Amino acid sequence: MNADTMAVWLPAAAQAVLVIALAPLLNGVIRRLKARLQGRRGAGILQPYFELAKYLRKDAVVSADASWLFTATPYVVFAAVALAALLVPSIYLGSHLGFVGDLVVLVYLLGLARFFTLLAAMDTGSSFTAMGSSREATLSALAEPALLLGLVMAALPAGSLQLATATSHTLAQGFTLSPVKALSLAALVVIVIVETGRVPVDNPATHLELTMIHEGLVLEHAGPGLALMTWAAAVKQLLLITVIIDLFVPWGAATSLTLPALGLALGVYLGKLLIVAIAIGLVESCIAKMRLFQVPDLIGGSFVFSVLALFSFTLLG
Amino acid sequence: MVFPAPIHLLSIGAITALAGMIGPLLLWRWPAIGHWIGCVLAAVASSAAFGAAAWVLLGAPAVHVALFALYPFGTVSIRLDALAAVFLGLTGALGFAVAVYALGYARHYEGRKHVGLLAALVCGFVLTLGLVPLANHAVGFMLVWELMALVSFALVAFEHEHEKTRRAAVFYAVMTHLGAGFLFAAFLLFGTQAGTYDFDGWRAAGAALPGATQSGIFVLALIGFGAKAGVLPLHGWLPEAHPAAPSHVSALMSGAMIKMGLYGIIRMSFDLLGGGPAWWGLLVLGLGAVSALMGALYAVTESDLKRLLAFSSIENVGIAMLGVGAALFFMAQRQDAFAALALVAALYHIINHAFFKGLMFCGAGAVQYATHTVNLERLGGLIKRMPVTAFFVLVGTLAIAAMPLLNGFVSEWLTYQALFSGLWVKDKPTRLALPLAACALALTGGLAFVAFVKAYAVGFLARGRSAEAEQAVEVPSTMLAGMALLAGGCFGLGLAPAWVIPVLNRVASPLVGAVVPVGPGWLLVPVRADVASLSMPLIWGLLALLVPLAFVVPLLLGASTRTRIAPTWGCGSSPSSRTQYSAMGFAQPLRAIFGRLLMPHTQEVQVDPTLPPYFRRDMRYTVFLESVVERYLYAPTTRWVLEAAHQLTRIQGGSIHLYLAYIFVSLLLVLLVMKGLG
Repeated sequence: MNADTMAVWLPAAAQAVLVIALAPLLNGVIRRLKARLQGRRGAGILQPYFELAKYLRKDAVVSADASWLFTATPYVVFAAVALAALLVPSIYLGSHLGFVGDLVVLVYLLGLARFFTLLAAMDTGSSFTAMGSSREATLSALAEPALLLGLVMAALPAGSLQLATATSHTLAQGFTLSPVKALSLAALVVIVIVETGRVPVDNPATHLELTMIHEGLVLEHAGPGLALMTWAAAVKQLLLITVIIDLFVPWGAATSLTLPALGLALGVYLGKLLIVAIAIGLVESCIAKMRLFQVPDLIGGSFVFSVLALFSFTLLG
Repeated sequence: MVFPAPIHLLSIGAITALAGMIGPLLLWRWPAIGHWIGCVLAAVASSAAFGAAAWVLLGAPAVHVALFALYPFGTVSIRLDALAAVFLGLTGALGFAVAVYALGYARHYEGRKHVGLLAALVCGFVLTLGLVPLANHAVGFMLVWELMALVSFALVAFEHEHEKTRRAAVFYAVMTHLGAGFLFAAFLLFGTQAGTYDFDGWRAAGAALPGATQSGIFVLALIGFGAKAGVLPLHGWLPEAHPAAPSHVSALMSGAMIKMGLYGIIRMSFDLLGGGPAWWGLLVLGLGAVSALMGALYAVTESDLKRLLAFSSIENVGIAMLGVGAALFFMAQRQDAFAALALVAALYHIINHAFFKGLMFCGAGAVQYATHTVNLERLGGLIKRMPVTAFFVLVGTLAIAAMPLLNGFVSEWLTYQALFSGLWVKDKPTRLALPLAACALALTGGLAFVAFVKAYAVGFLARGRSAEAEQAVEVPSTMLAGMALLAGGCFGLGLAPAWVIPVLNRVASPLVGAVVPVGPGWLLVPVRADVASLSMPLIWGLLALLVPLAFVVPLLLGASTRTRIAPTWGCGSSPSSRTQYSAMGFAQPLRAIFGRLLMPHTQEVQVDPTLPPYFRRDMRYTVFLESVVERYLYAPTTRWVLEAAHQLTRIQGGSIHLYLAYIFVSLLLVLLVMKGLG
């Protein structure tokens, strides 16, 4: 492997490891914030890590009805999400693996993870997880296209479907609030809430059958499998937030591989994530969960924002 | 050599296919032997066809052979150019796999039906399928087109002892002849205007025809070919005919025959007419978007595996039409590079669909062979009892759901690139129309994803829902071999698009005058490297690295390695095969969300009124979807035709003199009209 290849692959791998390592922390911070807002003390922000460690040490319990697909799913899901993480720069923009795949590939990689999650949920024969599977499938049928469109519209001003091109275009342009940007941001924020299973679409703190989607979906997993599924969900959440940061507010990220620049970039990145966490915590504490059949209207709203972004790009741009 | 070599292969293919048709009929008293010979000859003919097509696609010059003079229409000839070779090649590849598969599958019919006849018909089907893209003359084309319809009709009606099959076959025959009628009209119009019925003559004259004539020909041909391709609203026959036909025939019909409709559209619009105004592209784009969306929506709600696959064929034809429409549109805008991208995407999707849909129909056939049903509500748990079949169907499912591993994703990605390319054009209508079509494609993808997750999860996972599913055993090895060939095709076409695209460029470059660039190192860069790129080998490589990592890293972090087997948690009750989610239940939320389009009618619980309300045993829940097209198009048309026929009975007096008078008057009228026109 020559130096050029290393210069592309190593930073990408390091950033993927960073995102994977940080992902549970975001959940910890949000939970802590929510607890405070609700007048509770709440667990420490490292609690998700303790939970993952606990799951890892437990034995796996597999349903007698399940097949090899169920056992293989956590590994495939985690690998697919990790591959998606390789494609998204977080703190260093100088090198990227965008040539492996563009935004369309990114969305479909998350789709691959979902494909196996849904099948595994149906594999145990439990009507409980199957209900989660059916609901997740229903929402994903609408949310996945909305996510793809939102991302494409956000990258539109750069004239590219590559995340890196769109990011450097935003950096070069400076901060402008064009209609396309504003509308696609609105579309993406809505859809990221749906995709990450947060209030008001889903409640990450419960798996009651009336309210749950994602938590019910992974109910039959146990031990290391559950740890990987939970972790993968957290990585997916952080990944989507990072994509939004890259597309709309990439300022602060390092463009050169020097230690001070990287340190600053890491600090700025963590600061941005803290703001996102506060926003999520506030929203989750103030808004009640929606009924399942109201969610399609929400996703439809995201679609409308995307199409409006398209119109404004075409007619104004 | 006097002849170029592909012509030898074509001759071998035609002769063996003919022998395969006649052989089993001569051996009528020994159907098993006849069937075996028929299948082997079909395999030989298919590989010959594939060889000839591959030869031309890899750069051999087009084959052109005059066959016989047909007064007054000129000389009937065949021509194998790159476009024809794509369709001949996919027929050959699919035909070979299906012939291997049929060796084992015929046991499904042994003792009930004459399997020798089945093999003879399949041979005839492969022969006519191969001849359609070769035909280079309007009369020759209509001849093989109608023969193909006839053979496929016989195959759909193969199990004619069932009332439902007969109805499906007649429905199919009516629709396909309706389409043929439009084709006759298109060809007559073209022939009279161009002064010849030879495709070479049309190619020379087509671009110079007046615009209105061109558009007339195009619309008539679009309807005629669209009916064969299953484009909405002419799709009604597909979900009836596919389940009725034997499974390997469904694979051929869905994988190859409906593609001939798309072949016709591409041949007519790009080649013979030499492109047209932008609204042609918009029309095709719109039809494609509607077909794709509605096909996917019906597939989501379907519980019969073969009907689900048929609806998915409508969806995939729609996706290919999106590519064709975008190519026509870009061609009219003089965006040749984007037109090439769109056309290559469409052709790639057509080839891919032949492989994964062929695989899925063969898988459905294996399920039918083992359990005698394709109703998802009676299946389940097959992954444990038919592991090899289940694995191949999983491959097909991953491909058809466009997961970024296999071929389905590559062509869908290319179609996205073609449609989003509209954004990089200055023209405003283009910048709106094509991305909106991409929206339709995205939604289609989402719905198809759910349809196939449902089909696989309910059909193959968890517990069997009937005794047949519980007792299923793996199918014979020839059937598995047929599926393995198709699954291998899905894998290869998914891994190496950088090899496939240059081949398809040979088709695109004479039609639209541009090619799709392929980047270095197996990288796809259809527009520019900073706009979009894809590397399937890297995705495979990285996943092959990351999956073991996901296994090893938790172990390093101290993960437990012990596994306990326990029953599924059932909320306090013991789970049974009846407490599992059903296919209908899985799709219920989407059925409710799209209720306006799907028009579901539910029949509620029918209970035994003699039992007290706490012991309702006899519970039934029926959901019936009313087709929008059938309600607002087919039903009124049928009513109108019947009414008109009824009105016509008034002039039927039963007297021969009266009829002679009618004939005389009609003759006079025709002569007067001709005089007036001339």
